[in-house]
Amino acid sequence: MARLEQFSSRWALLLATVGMAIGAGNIWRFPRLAGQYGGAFLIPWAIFLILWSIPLLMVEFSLGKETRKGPIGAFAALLGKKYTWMGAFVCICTMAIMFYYSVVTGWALKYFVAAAIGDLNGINHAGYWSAFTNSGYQPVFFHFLSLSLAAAIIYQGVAKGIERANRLLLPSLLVLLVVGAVRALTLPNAAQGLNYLFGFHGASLWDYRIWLEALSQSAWSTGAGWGLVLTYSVYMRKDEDVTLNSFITGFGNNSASLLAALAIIPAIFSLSGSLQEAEQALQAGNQGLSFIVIPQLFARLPGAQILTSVFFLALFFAALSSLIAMFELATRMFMDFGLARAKALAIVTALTALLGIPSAWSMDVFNNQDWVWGLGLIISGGFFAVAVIKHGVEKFRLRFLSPEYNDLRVGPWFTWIMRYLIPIEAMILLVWWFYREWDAQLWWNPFSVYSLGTCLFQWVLLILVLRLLNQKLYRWAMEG
Amino acid sequence: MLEFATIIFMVLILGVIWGGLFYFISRAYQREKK
Repeated sequence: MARLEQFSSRWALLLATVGMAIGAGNIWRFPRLAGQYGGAFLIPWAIFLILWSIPLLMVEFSLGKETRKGPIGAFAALLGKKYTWMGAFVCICTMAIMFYYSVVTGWALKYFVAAAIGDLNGINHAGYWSAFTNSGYQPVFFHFLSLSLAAAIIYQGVAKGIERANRLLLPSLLVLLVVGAVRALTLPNAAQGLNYLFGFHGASLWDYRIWLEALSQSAWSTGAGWGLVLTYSVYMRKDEDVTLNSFITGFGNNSASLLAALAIIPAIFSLSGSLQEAEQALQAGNQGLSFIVIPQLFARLPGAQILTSVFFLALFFAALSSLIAMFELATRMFMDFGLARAKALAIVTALTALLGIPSAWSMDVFNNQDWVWGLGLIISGGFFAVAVIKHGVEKFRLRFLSPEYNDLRVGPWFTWIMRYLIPIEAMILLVWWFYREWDAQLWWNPFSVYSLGTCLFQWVLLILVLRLLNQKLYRWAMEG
Repeated sequence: MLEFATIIFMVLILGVIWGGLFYFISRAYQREKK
């Protein structure tokens, strides 16, 4: 077996994990929610960082470092043959997201290029977005371009590829966000946006939706439960701290979210003609806000071309740094099965190119996949909790989280969160999302874009296949 | 015009999240220096 590569330093690993965590969701989802719900949203969002994200990040860091295998091998090593399929579910769920996330990265790249060459000047933005996404071949072309970039980075390996890419991407992203925030905060009426973003109304905390939206954001944004941190920690040094790294990854992700909100919310409120227009902008959905409303509003400023380019470059960098983590997870899976990096990567690239096409071609397919596998991630998070519970939560804490070389000791609070809170949070989230999108006529339909039926159909099919392959998966992952 | 309550809440949230990040990074830095 070839010797495992390693990150050259702790900072290189942290740049990679924070870069993985900061993705499109920090730029297009968090500011939208924070603006919609106001300051009260930020309290549960900060609480769930501790009550969902960081404990799961600790589990992922520990499993990757201890087992030196991707999610399938890690579950197999921790729990034995019987539960290997759970690790495979985590892997496939994140890969399914990778297929359409490459399309999102392509959209950001296309819009950056269009903004930089002046194609977005003086146009009807809604029409441009609709023409682009309905053209079919254009999103497919940019999907290919972005996955080729990710593949080229992963081909170089951990130190020369992932590490170097994140050394460039993450600091550049932060600089772009700071530039955007400074410009937004110096606009007239920027204070109105800040009053909205940080305006605290205690009564809003009684609104259960704020808590559930905050928990959803924590589940999706920090990358906890995706298997990505687990994959990166396969390459961490043996004597490295797990708990402190988890806190830095979680707080780093949330810090970037706040920076993105400071760049976007004041700009929306300043550039909108009225308060109603600003509120409508925040209701436009992730894609509507990023690809229609923001370029539309930025066009009202002098130097719009530069500011719009900065925004889409930041979105592209954020998406690419997450996409390469997903590529590494999938590549690691095939490497655990005994393939060399180049061969494993060739399979992953071909699969992503092929299986991303339907999402690039049709927004309905894209939205369906986002719905099914976005919720699938909550199950993945739940599986990590189940793995720790099966292993023994106290045993896990004492074995992995409190050794001599850990800088921060983890107390019994971890046991409580992992044993009770995370399974309950996962169940409540799933029930709430199904309730939210409930359609009395179509709830059962497996071919409806947003339905309980489509989720159950795809999840159950996947779980059945994985359970059938369980023995083989165990053998492939453990004997490679 | 920024409201007083906004300023207090902004300082609180940014203090917890950005301050927390700074604190954890400085702890990691101290450890790496050792």
